[in-house]
Amino acid sequence: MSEIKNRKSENLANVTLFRTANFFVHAFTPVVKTGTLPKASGNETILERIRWTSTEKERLMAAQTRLLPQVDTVTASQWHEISIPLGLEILAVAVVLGIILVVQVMNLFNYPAYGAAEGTLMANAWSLLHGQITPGAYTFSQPPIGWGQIAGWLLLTGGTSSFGNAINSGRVLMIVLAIASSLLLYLITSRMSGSRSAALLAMVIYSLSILSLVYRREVLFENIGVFWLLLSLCLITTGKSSLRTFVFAAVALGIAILSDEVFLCFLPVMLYAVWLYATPFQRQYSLLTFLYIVLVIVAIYVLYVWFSGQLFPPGLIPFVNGSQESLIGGILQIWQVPVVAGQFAENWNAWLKDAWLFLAAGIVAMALNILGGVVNRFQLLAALLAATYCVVLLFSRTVYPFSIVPLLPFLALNIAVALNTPVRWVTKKIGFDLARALLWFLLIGALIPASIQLAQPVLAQNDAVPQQQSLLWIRNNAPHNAVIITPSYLYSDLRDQGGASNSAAFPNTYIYTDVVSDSLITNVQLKQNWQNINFLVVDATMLNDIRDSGQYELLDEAIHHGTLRTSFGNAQDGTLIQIYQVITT
Amino acid sequence: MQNIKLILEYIYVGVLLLVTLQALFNIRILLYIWEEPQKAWLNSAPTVYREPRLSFTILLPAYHEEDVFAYTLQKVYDLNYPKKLVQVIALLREHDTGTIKVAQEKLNQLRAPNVQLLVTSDKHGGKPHQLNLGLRMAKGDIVTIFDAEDEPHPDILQVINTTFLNESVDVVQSGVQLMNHNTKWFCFLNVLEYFFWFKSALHFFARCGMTPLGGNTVFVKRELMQQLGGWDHTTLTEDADLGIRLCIAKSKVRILYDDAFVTKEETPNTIEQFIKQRTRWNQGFIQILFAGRWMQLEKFSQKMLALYVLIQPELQALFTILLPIGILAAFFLPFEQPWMAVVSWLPMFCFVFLMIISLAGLHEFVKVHHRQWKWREAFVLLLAFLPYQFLLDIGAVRAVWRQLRGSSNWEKTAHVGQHRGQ
Repeated sequence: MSEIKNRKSENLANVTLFRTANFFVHAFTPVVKTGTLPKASGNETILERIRWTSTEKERLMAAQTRLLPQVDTVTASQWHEISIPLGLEILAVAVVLGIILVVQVMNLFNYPAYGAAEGTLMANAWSLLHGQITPGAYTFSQPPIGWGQIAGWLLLTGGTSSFGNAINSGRVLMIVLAIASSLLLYLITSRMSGSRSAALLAMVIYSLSILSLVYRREVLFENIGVFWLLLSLCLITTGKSSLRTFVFAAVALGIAILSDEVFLCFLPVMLYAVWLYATPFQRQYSLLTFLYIVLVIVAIYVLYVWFSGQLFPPGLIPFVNGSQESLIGGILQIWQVPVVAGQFAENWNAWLKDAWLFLAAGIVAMALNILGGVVNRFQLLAALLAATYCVVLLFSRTVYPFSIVPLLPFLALNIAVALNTPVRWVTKKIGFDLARALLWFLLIGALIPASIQLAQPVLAQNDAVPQQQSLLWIRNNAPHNAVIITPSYLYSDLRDQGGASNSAAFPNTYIYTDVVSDSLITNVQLKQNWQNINFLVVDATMLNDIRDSGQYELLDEAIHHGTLRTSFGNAQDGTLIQIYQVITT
Repeated sequence: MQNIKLILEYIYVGVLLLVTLQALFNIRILLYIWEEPQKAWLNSAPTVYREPRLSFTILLPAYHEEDVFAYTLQKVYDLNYPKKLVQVIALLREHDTGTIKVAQEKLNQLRAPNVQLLVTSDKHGGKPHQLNLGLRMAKGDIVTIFDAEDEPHPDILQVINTTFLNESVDVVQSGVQLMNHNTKWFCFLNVLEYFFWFKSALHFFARCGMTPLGGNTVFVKRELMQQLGGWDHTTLTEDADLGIRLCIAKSKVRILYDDAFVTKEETPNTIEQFIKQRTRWNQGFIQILFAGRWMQLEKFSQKMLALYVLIQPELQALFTILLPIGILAAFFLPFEQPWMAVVSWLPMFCFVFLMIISLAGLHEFVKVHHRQWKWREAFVLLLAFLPYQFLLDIGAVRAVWRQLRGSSNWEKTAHVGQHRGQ
């Protein structure tokens, strides 16, 4: 009835009382609004009226069935049967998000240890703010959109030292993105499952999983990409089939792909989501618009690289001058990296060790949703989202511990959808759907303290403290014109003026990997002479690289001629950091 | 020198961005009806008809249309509506003896008192003059026009009667659709232009309160037409002018494009005819632009929209010219910044998207008219896309040239009935 009322208010003439695919009852409100037009000709005879009515009857009987435009939006939210005031829903979500925030920021700046990936991103962001795309030679293998966003954040929050050091600033941004991602997952699950309690459950499972608590705080491309991907999916699922929303969703997916190219793998399943959520009336235009905008966004980057003369490597295309640092060259280089056997298995075991229940439940749920997807497209969509990334993960040439990040929200989504569907069926059968909501709330109530208890000892470690101490030591003991070779995570802070003592910058700081990849640093700054290096800050990874890869002869020699000035952390837990001063004769 | 180069580059980029914005706006108009699901109902004709209460006067202007006019007269006479509520006035010109003869024969055959023939003098102008004389003789509550080659849907008067009775509107523009989509290479895009214009774009204009109406299947209250003084006989596009005047008068315009109820028409038979037709329309727009009546529209947005519609053919020509220039410039001009070369490609992205939209439009067109989708036709459409833009450009440039030279004679489009039986 409410639908009829709404339709009436839109258009007094067209009221569809009942509609199926090939049959409808269409009626009009007999209100005449014709201005100066006669309301009735007044001169028809009764015979004429009878004749008209009978002709109209015959016409309707003989008329071919006309299909009305199919404009029903497909959304599971129409299944909401337990009425909850919006204010109460917002309050419940806010409370849970508050708890998630508290747990997520627990010991944020000290655990885990600052990673090389975090350092590289922050160094790139710092460089962008200082007129360069990266500190060393830009290889074009990665669009600068990811660290461009971090640079924007640094501008907004007043620089690298607003939260102590650069990586801390980046981690605060990651927390903002993490909370936003949790909220987006809530909205997506709510639309896909039709249950707000199940959505809350998905949000809790996703946000309080130990894998999320560790990796979502790290400054990673994956965390940025997940936010944009979830935003895109949220716009598709909540947009009520509006073309404008599909446009914004495409832009969000485009940004996700430019933030981290691995998100390109989600394009087919996102197209399926558009297909599912667009009405048949709008479907083909929505799909084309979505696909085209995503491709154009990606193409704009490719064109930019092309016109920068960095698309092709030398010799690939005849008559085209290639560049040593090129996009295609970079991609080819990635593909030429030999597959490290057992890398996936090693990481998988580590993930299982940390969160076996979550992973097992997620994968079983995904399988169940694939089966359930035969009758319920939303289940299929949830399963495809997770399955897509599972396939990518399985076939990736390099798998990092944080490579699992894009999978986490979709595993949680699958668990919530797979649990909710049969339980809804049962509770509806017995006529007590409220029991389902109560069950989910009980589960949430149990999950929150259990997750906190599980996470507390892990999050209480102070792995980043030696790194912070080494930064402080350099600031207090090294001359400001010293040539310092460091891991990436110290780069931005040493290059930037700041810190607690408002220390001056160390303009001759270089990331150790750039000493190999950037000929300008090797040949011009260091003149290929280890004697031009004054300090080396060395952690376990850097030491392994220098000793094992054979590319770092210059640094190896510098270490051999260096004297250990100080060290922080210890070798047992892998937090050891040594600072060498190179003795030149 | 370096500064001048940089300034020129920025000007060039600015022009390209403006052209891209124009193309994006054009795309938005084309897809307007598909923006929200609810908008589908705007084009949904009533399925249950109200009792016929309104009377109609159908004006049928024609000039040298002896091949198709008798058939059209018959079709209009056969419309499913009580004959006593329909007045059909065939409007012919005194020197057009061929069509007069055909019409008289048909009238003798029909022997219907509600079908009349009005022969006008050639001295006082063409179609608008004929229409104005027809309006003087009109008796119906609603006045409408069908062109000589039109094939209206048999129930169109029922649909319009119901719409007028159910809704508070002054004007109903029903759909007009070219039907012979695959007879010539340029027909695909010509057909799709009508498809998108009537199905989508006109709704956008109607929402903004600035609707350039079509030349036929437009139903206006007779009293309103008389108050407005009929059609302007000084312009080549009296229909667009009427639309603007109706909007100035704040008339409520309803657009109704239901695929099942469109009036069927044909594309021009040859490229020459097509260019002549397009020249006439474009020149008519230029005349309306300089007449300045559109400045009387109430809101600034309406004025801007009217301005956009009236200069759109020339903008389109600029777009097509800039397209290859942009691509060549991106490769051969030494831009200061690589992003400037990327901007050169933006019109191309819009252009390709327009091609894709056209393909989708073709898919929908053949589906709703129960025709078979053929990949070969889709391929021809893609191949024809750029040459078609050049035909439009020739029409735009020729219109400007004719206007500058002061030639404003009516270049007639011949009709051969390609759409009949489709």
